[in-house]
Amino acid sequence: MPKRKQDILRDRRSAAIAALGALMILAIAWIVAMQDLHSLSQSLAAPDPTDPLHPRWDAAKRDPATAIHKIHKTEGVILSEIEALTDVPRVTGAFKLKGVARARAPVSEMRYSWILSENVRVRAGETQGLVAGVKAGDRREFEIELEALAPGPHRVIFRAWRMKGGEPVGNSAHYVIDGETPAAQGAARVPIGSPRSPEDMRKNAVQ
Amino acid sequence: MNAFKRLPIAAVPGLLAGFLGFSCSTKKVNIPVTPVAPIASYCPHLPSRTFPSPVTISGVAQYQFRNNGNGTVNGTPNPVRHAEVEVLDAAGGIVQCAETDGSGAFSFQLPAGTGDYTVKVNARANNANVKAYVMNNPTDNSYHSISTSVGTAESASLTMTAPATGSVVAGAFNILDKILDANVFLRAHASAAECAAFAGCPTFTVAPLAYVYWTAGFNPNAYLGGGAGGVSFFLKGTNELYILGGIAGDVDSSDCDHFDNSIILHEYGHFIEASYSASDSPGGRHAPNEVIDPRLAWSEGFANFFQAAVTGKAVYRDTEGNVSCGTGCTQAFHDEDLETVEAYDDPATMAAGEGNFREFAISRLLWDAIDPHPVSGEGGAGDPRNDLAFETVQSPFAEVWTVFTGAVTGFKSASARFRSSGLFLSFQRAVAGGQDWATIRAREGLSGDQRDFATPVAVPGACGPQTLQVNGGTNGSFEASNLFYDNDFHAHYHASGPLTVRVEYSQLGGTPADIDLIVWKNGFTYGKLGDALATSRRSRSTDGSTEQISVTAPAGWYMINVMGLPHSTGAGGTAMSYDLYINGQKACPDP
Repeated sequence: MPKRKQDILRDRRSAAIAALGALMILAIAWIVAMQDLHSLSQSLAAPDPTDPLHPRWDAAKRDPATAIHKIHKTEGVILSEIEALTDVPRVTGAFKLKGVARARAPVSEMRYSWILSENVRVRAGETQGLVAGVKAGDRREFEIELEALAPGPHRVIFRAWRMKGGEPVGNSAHYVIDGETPAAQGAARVPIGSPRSPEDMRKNAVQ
Repeated sequence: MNAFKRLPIAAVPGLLAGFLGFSCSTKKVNIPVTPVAPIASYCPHLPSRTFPSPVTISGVAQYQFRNNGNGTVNGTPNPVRHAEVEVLDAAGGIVQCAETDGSGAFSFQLPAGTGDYTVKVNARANNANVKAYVMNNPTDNSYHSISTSVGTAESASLTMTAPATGSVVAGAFNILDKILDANVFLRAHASAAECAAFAGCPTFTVAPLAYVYWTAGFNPNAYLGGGAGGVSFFLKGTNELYILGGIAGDVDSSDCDHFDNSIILHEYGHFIEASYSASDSPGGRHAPNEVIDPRLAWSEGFANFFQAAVTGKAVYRDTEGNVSCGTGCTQAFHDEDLETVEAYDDPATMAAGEGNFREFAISRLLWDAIDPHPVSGEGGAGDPRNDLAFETVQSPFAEVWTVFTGAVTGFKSASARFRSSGLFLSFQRAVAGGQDWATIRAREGLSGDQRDFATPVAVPGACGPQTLQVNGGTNGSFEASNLFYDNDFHAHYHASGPLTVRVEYSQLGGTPADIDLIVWKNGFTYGKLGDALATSRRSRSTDGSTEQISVTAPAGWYMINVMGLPHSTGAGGTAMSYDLYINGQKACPDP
């Protein structure tokens, strides 16, 4: 029995909507997959202490209250973050931070590490350590007192990993403290408040 | 790089929104900019105030000094000379001002029985002796200081010492003190009496105010977006010096310059050059063992010489810390002896004229021109530093100053351009009352004119072909090209309108080479093609072939750069000759 004209039109519309929907889903899936792949590749990359900006610098989100950029956070076994215990200086001076690592599952061995960029030095606290026997739900805090010797951005990174066979596995978290330079806008590593850009400085510096 | 990877995550919702055909507004986040703090005014109560019922507070300010950069602390502190003293009440208001004298002593009154005050001795001065502020960074503009509390029940005497360990604030006071040394030297050697012998010699009184940025443990390379290598520099176009305070917070074993008097005075030498002379240096890195742009070599060579002149020592010492050799080893440093040639710039093996391209050849020439004979502490017979064959010149510093700063026979004259040692020596030969520097010029491989760089050309001229060496190792890039051997630089004034420059190539020897032509604008950086007016860099290696540029150019000075390079990498000839034509007329060197 031949379809009625309305049925044909409805079928065609349904097919078109379905096709468009499928296309959208594919596109979203592709984008998400690319981001995940990128995240994964960043997460698996060996930590590079000489380039603390490496992971997701372009994805920085800044908390205006603490001047802390949350750069990257992986939802792995260990969740880590930074809390500011004192005012984080926009320019120079001393400040205290607390790195927090929370375990979502038992972790027999966990490593934490503070990575400091040039011009930030430790006044008190350990920059790295190993913690054994972390239970699920445990919250471990690691305080450090730092001093910024010069205008920033001061790249202070807290990382926590689950260790397996002496090697870090999976999780890492990255944070940056600064007061000004919006990395998301593609700015270079201009020290905070420097009246001139590095390009201008380079052009005119006579050594 | 995958373009998608450069896409900020924040852009993804917008991308999706666009794809799905709807729009949404994006909230613009304004990131707060840290304001630059104004530089505090100099102490407002000078001369010092007097009070009806006073107590007298006197004292001495001094600073410790570490040997060889960050080595052991010297046993005897140095006085903080001619520095600002501020006295603050409990509310932080400035109630009294003073300055230390030449021995670090200070004295001022306070009203008796009015409680405690804070006495601050600051690493800055703005007086007839020296004008310099040593501050932490160009955002805070906070000057370094030492302070103590004093009561007013009775008169008191204070001793205030800036430590060379811990805060290392002594570094700031040493920087100020070396700048004072430079001013003292210039006042003595470019005084009215010293300048009287040379027409056009400007008398020195005190240099303009300099801002020095230094923080213990901080490497100013951060401002350049550079790496971890320590660096001090003067910022051209400003009155700012940036001195290396250490690296990554380390003031004990890494490279630092706050006690490197050679470095402080070298950078201040650039400031003096900018304040009293003129420079055409393009800046950039430089090293003693490299052939560099003669404009850069002059500027650096003068700064090296200036520190030797001020310290009275024929050595340029750059300490390097001991981080590379571990705990317990002695502090490492690098010395450049201004009396002894090095293997790489020994005129016995260096071609005549090459010294113009080497900064320490210039430093040694200037030092030899003014150094005392014999130099105290130098050896006897056989010591090259006392080789009197090269010590016949005994010019006063004022002769150097006349050329360096003079508006008549010097670098400030209207005819000065592409300033290098060649131009300096051209002027020096013309100074009335000046000495003959021929022996020391020859010793350092320096020409007495501009034949090796920025060579004036006569148009029309009559001359044969000019020869040019070709470095067989070069690959034709600017980086690999030897500025002395592989390039000729001709200065030419163009009176606006059409400009045609042509070079005609001739082969010398059995192997053909290639010739290139670049016309640079005044102020150019060699190798930076954005600074070129025009280039012609084709493969030209047969007799009679040409490179030519034809442009319409505004009036001004240009540098015609003829560059030789191998016809094919590593297989080029070792020399060529060429003829130069400007607007159809033969152009000939006329140094």
